[in-house]
Amino acid sequence: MNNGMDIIESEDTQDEVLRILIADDNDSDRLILQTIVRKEGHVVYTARDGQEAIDTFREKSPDLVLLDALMPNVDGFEAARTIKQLAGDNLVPIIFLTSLRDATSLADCLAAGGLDFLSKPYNRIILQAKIKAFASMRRLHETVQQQRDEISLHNDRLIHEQEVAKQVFDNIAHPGCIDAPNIKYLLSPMAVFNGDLVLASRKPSGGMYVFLGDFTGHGLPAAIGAMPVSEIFYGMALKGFSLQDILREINKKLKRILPVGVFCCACMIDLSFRKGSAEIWVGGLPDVLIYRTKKHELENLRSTHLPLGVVDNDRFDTESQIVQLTKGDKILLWSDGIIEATNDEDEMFGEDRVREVILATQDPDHIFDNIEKAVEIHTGRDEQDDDYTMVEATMVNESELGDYFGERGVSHFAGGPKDWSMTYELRPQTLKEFNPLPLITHLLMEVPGLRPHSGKIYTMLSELYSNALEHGVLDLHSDLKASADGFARYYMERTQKLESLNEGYVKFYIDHKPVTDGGVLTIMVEDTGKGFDYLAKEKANHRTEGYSGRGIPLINTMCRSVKYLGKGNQVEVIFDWHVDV
Amino acid sequence: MAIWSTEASSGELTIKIQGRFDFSAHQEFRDAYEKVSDDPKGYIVDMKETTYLDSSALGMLLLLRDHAGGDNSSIEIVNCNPDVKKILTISNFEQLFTIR
Amino acid sequence: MTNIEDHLDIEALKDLKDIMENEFETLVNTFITDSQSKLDELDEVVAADDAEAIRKLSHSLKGSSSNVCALKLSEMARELEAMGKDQQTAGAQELLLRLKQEFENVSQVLRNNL
Repeated sequence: MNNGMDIIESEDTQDEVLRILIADDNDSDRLILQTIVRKEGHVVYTARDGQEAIDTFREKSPDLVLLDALMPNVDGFEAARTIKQLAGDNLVPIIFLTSLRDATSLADCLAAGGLDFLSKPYNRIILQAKIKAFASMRRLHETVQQQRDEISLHNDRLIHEQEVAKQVFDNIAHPGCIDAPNIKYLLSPMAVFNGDLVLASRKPSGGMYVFLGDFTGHGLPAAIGAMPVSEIFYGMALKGFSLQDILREINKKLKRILPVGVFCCACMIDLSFRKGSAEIWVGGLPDVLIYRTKKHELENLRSTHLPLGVVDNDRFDTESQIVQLTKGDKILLWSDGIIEATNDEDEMFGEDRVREVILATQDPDHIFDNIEKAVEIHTGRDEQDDDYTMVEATMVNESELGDYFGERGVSHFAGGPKDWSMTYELRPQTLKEFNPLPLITHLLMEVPGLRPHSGKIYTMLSELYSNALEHGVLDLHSDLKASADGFARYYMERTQKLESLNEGYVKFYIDHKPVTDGGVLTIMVEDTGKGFDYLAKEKANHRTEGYSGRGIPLINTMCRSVKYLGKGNQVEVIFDWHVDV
Repeated sequence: MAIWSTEASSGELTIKIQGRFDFSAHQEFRDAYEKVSDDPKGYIVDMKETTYLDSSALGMLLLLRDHAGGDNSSIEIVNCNPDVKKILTISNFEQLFTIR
Repeated sequence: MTNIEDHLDIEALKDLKDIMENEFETLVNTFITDSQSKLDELDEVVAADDAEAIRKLSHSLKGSSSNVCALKLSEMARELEAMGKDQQTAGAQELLLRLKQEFENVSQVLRNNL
């Protein structure tokens, strides 16, 4: 924009050559004017009457028109009106040449589009000043026009870029299974540029995650964060990670990538149809409402956390609230758009109105639509370009979701290995240098639906493996660990024995078989140690209790059975699991 | 909307925000704490005349907190009207700021 | 003719001559021819008592004579224009006669100045 100003103030503008049309029926007057203007260095076109003026204007498009008011044929007023029309968007200053003095005549000149007057006798100095002034005005107008065109071009480009960006965002930050029959939602097509984000994913275990996010700011900066959130959400939800795990990961990522001051107010729901419950986390969004269908009552669930991306994970709190729901109960969540929608008096729609609308609605199926309508009436706008984002999730029996989840459910469970067995034998070199537990856990987590049990499975594997290695292959005695002193000795011995190990193995035999809604996981671990008389111990104590230090009691609480086999160098754990834990 | 800051002899910088505190206040709010000569001991954000704040304003408060030393910062937000207080509460900003 | 300055603004005329340079002669001839034809037309419309035509013609003459610094002539044309405008044409004949005389004076001075 400074460029424009520079041009206007620069020297060459002062000497700018203009093309000027002079229209006057009086020959001597025209001759004088034409001579003066030409001497100023401008190019002159002349016309003898209004019609000639119009024709010359059409042909030459001059920069400035000096127009006599009273002329034969077409007079100056009419010529001015036609010239204005021909000029369109371009500014063509018209200066009326007149010796008329009365106010009505001068007003007629202005009404016809004249910007100024020049009276007879012509004064050279005044004429110069006027031409200069109008040249500046014209240049300013051109600059404004040029800038307007540039802005418009820029805007077009921006809109195009946004459209492309939107396609990318839509592909990545797609709303997942938000069109499930138990979900209603309102999300403007350009919501991502308002910073609003709605995600929903089926859980491998049968439930459903719903996420509503509202980033600070607008436009591209607000949209950027949607990408990682969406990737993390869908990636982890599909693998069966818990609500806490997903929130932590999203928070960590956003805190790392977003500049300070940009964050994401969010709510995440873990909806379990089988248990009839929802686990809800709210950080920075307006109160989530729980609608109890039977009692026709509302409960508020307040935001108890900072938004996502504000603090590091060590301060980030994933504590959620668990709500029991019966069939037909609804969870309503929104970004602040609905609550803050203002009417002409700048009055916000507000939470009280939301509650009123809900409680005034007899048929719960109409709650969502009624809120939407009430907001429209309040704001007086019916177009949906506002950043109203709202989600309603209804508790249903899983069977009611019918084909929708049937198909998708299958596809979620399909693709992963669920009927297999493997043997994994670890020999001395490997036992010395490698911890097999992450690898085995990872393999097991590929079983669709098993991930929520990863904690237990890891505990079992880890106990079984250390027993087999330490008490079996390395022949260490757990009695040692009874005292602080012995504890240190135990680990010293462990290190020494492991270093000098040149024979023996630990062998995992793992078997997974699918059953309806879950599976049976058998883990058998065998070592080359000398074993022990487990039968005697079982008689002496109850079942496997009493093997202190061997972690067996702990495992026992987690699974169907723990059984020693062979000479006590084999142990078999059978673990039954079901989806939707 | 107007923002001005005053340094007390005790070494605290008070930033007053009048009217709506939203994105349009971005530069002015930054200037209020960046263009002071000495590092203040603490900050007081006076919202007595603040009518409204949006999420951009929350972001700006986080920027101030970052500027003031993050977890080691001392920032008090005072004299909030109920609307303003509610917005701060929803976002649980009392975990990051002293709100009086 | 009594005093030139009563009829023409001599200073302004000098300026005009400077500006017009060799076009000055053309200007003078154009003015004289143009004005003569207007005066002929005025004869007719004054005789016909056509107030509107009187107004238009004398308006034009007022402008062009002012531009050649003929102040007295311009002033007389203005009076005639006012008569036409107000439709008070009594005395127009007599005014036109004096105006023609003035035109002769101005023409002579202009020609002498070439």
